[in-house]
Amino acid sequence: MNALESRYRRALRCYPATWRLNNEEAMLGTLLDAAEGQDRATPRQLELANLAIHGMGSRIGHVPFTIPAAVRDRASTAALAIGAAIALTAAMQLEVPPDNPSQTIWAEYQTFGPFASPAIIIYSVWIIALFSGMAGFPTAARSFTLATVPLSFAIRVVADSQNMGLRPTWNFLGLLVLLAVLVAAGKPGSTRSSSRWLVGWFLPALLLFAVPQILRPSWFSYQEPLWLARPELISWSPLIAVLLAAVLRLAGRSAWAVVALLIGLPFTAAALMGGVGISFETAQLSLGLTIAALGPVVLLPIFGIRLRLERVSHQ
Amino acid sequence: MNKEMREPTFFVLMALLSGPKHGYALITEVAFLSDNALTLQVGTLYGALDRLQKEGLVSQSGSEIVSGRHRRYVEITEDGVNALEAESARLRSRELRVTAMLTQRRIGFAS
Repeated sequence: MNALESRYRRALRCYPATWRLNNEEAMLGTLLDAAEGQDRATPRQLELANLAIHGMGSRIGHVPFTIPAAVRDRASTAALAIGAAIALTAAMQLEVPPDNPSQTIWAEYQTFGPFASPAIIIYSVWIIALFSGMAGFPTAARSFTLATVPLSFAIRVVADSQNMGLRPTWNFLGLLVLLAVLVAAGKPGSTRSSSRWLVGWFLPALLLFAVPQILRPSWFSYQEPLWLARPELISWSPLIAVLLAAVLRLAGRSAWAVVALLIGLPFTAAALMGGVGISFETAQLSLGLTIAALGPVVLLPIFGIRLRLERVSHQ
Repeated sequence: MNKEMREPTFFVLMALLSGPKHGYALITEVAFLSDNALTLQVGTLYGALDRLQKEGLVSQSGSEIVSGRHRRYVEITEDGVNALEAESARLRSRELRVTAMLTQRRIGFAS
């Protein structure tokens, strides 16, 4: 076995054993044929990344691939618009200095030039991704949102090391990362009238995420948006997602109902990770989670969409 | 729901119309048919073949060992041909519609 074959065999370990049993030799033969055809003695990084992505996809039971492409595309479009709306409101609420920064908590920490933290870069990339999607460049939109994933970790680590205490919380960054994964799981704006859908999602989402600040100007938050910092708001998210899915299903919009469930997942995770201490919020979150747990069991089979969580058998 | 066929699927099925092919032959044929616009990665190709096989659009048609390398051949099924025909008809209808609209626009400008 030569070095190239060893590298490919190592890369193919990303796939589950059942897949390897049936496909490893054929895939290896193709990889070696391709390397020979291109006169290469080493694997290409793109090739290895592609094997890692598909291998991990197989390991988690092909979940991203068994949800129909059209549904994933819509969820991707919605996640892009919602993520960009969150990024824009966060940039305005968290990154722009108050009137007298020296008399606020801003004076206690290092800032990132005129902004509170380097997170302004992440928010800007989200906005660029939105415009890319609206301009008809879904691949660029996906690439930009995916770029925010490592960027989020890097920025948070750098901010911590530089005493930039106004940087976003891990929970908020995690929410944006999960939305970025949803964007990448489909092709944003590939459905008809993509711009209409992006704007149709973006503007309402922008309004929704700005509402807490408008209604409660006395509330403030420095490291995450108000709706995320207040457990009494974010803990409604699983319930809202499931109810919205049920309404859409009753209206005959099955694909959009699945989209509502998918979009609800990052917010539910954020509600859980944020820690809900007050009994009322705990109760409403538990109710939402219970229904959300029943959602895939009850709703998805009705939609005729298989969500396979078990290991796929390749017989 | 939109059942539009994705580009890699379309080109893989198209490449198999000329007969059974192994993995690398499929990759080169798809690149040729798409004027090098589509370069399939091996992981993507085998993921697509696995899905197409489950949908009954392709099937395995034997394997051989060449220079110590395993080559598995796949072929398009009758269902695969039908699916490709349906997609081709959809594309043709779209092309006819846009051609008609372009003609109408030119006539409109001329008058």
